[in-house]
Amino acid sequence: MTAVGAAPEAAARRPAMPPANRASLRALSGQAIANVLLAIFGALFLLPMLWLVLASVDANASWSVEVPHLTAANFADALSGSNLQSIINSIVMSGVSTVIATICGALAAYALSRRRIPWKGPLLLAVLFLSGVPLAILVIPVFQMYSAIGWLSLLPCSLFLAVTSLPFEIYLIKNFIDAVPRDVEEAARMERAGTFQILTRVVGPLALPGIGAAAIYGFVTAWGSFLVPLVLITDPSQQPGSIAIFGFIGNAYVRYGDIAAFSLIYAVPILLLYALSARLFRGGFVLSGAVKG
Amino acid sequence: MPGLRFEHVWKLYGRQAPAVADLSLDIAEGEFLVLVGASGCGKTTSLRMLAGLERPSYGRIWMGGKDVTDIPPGRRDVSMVFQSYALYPNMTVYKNLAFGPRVRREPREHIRRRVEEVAEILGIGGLLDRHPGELSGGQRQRVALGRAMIREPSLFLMDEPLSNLDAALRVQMRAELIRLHKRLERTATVYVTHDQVEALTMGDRVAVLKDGSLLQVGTPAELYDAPATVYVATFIGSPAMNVIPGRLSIVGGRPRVACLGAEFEVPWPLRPGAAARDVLVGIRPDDLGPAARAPRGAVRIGGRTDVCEQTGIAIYATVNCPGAALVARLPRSPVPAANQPIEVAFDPRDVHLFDSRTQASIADRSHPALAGVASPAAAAPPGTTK
Repeated sequence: MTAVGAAPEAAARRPAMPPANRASLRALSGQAIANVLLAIFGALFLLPMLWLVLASVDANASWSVEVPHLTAANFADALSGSNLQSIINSIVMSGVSTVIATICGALAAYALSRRRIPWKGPLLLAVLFLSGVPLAILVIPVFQMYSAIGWLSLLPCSLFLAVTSLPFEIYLIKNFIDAVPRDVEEAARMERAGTFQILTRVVGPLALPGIGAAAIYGFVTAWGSFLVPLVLITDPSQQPGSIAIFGFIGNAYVRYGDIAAFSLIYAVPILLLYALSARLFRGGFVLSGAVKG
Repeated sequence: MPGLRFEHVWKLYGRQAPAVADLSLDIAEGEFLVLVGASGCGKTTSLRMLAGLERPSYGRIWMGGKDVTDIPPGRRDVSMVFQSYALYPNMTVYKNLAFGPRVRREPREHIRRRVEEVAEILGIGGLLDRHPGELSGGQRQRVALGRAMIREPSLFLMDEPLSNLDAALRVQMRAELIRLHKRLERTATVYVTHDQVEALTMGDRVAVLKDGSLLQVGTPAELYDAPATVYVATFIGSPAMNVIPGRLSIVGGRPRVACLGAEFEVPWPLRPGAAARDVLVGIRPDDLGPAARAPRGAVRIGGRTDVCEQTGIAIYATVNCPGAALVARLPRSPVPAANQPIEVAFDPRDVHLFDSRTQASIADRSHPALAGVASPAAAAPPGTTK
């Protein structure tokens, strides 16, 4: 009698507890299915990578994933003569394109962010839509133009690549400059700083994450571009890496090992940029402390 | 030498009402002038025109006898403290302070000495290596102030510099700003605020703006004792002045006012030509007390008590009289109960009279009888009051 009476008493003293967080069997099996699916998708992405690494050191590389007959010959091939030259061409082409696009983009973004410009709204909208125009539409007329003035070479091609990435870069940088408070700029103007000094010392450093992101975007698009250099560069010795890869596929047979080795080398700058951008963004926005809101 | 002058300055934005309308104002060398008014009254726009960040639509601005209307901000020998502080977040405190001199290519050694000097004055010497993001509000405020002090300008502009600080810090910084201003003897300061207490406590002179127009400029005492319009009368002073409709009549050549069922003779001179008309009668709560303590000749008004606000040294009680609710100052004890009959009284000498149509004061401030109250026409030199 007392034992039976004690239980409800104790329950009344203690606050009511919610049911324990025990995962039900059904939830567990659902999770398992999800994990298996994810693993399959992951493998679909990872297998080509694995092939790339294995084939690059395989003397008898083919399209299939197999245990490699170790060799360094593929890398030696990939770094020899014209192949090495194509990597250098890629660096020059992407570098020049990035520098042009980022400087012009930052200046344009500043003007669009700060100055009173008639028809600014429609102008910005036009910029946004221009960034979506397919390159394939542009490249033939540009080819006509370039061939007329004898510009079918590496540097003019970089210029065109810069122009194509400009709209998006302007938009990206403008958003960051918009976030820089005007007061900060006016404070600098009160100190007799000119527009150039304001740009390089105040607005530039504050919008640096945006400018950096835009530069990385510009570099990666130029680095991976295939169609534009293919059409706009006539001299084979000026062709960038993306076209060199294409050259490994001959009429008679495909040099899988060379393709893999070259692709790995070709991917290195992008991986480096990835690491750099992670550092750039970890610093985050340094706008805190500028103004108290 | 006139320090600074607004000459019929207008600022218009598109077709909206003017942000600043026909502003004419002289500011003496070394003066502390406060521009005060509700938000949107044009005080910040006026300040920005002094800074050179805005160009007047019409009119000229003079500094030290030179027309600076078209001179860009950096070349005016003017420093500004922004409401938001506007520190450079990417630079350390040291670099924030040194930014101006560096841009102006002053010698490095001189910059270092100057920064240390200013940091010493403001007590931020230990913060020079920090970034603004790591500072408290008060510290940021000091850095912003220091950045403005670095160049020893002839004119200091401050745009509500204390509005982002908490109440205790605000009072402390107020005193520090006054001390700082005294230290920089020849530097004039133009200070913008919406807080009339700040205006009265800090300004050598205070200019009250409303809807872009300058209503009155004078020493804090002048504004308090002789407000030129109803707006100034109610804006300056806390609690706000009681304003009640009344009727002015001239009886036997002597002006008499009827209001709240009472009638009294105005013991001070009115503007020449003052005739019978509707007026607004202004009585400050501090001039309205319990009838029992009132002197002979005081005007007594009966009513019932309503809300009472205890301030520590006194009680400001709302008294419902027939036709109006008045705020009166009562002694701190006994605490009046609500809805009790009470009689309050004021001395007719303390009354302010305004034309109910033009809202302007109809007291004759040029008359010797009111000389002690000072006249808004004669601008007192800075530093003589306070």
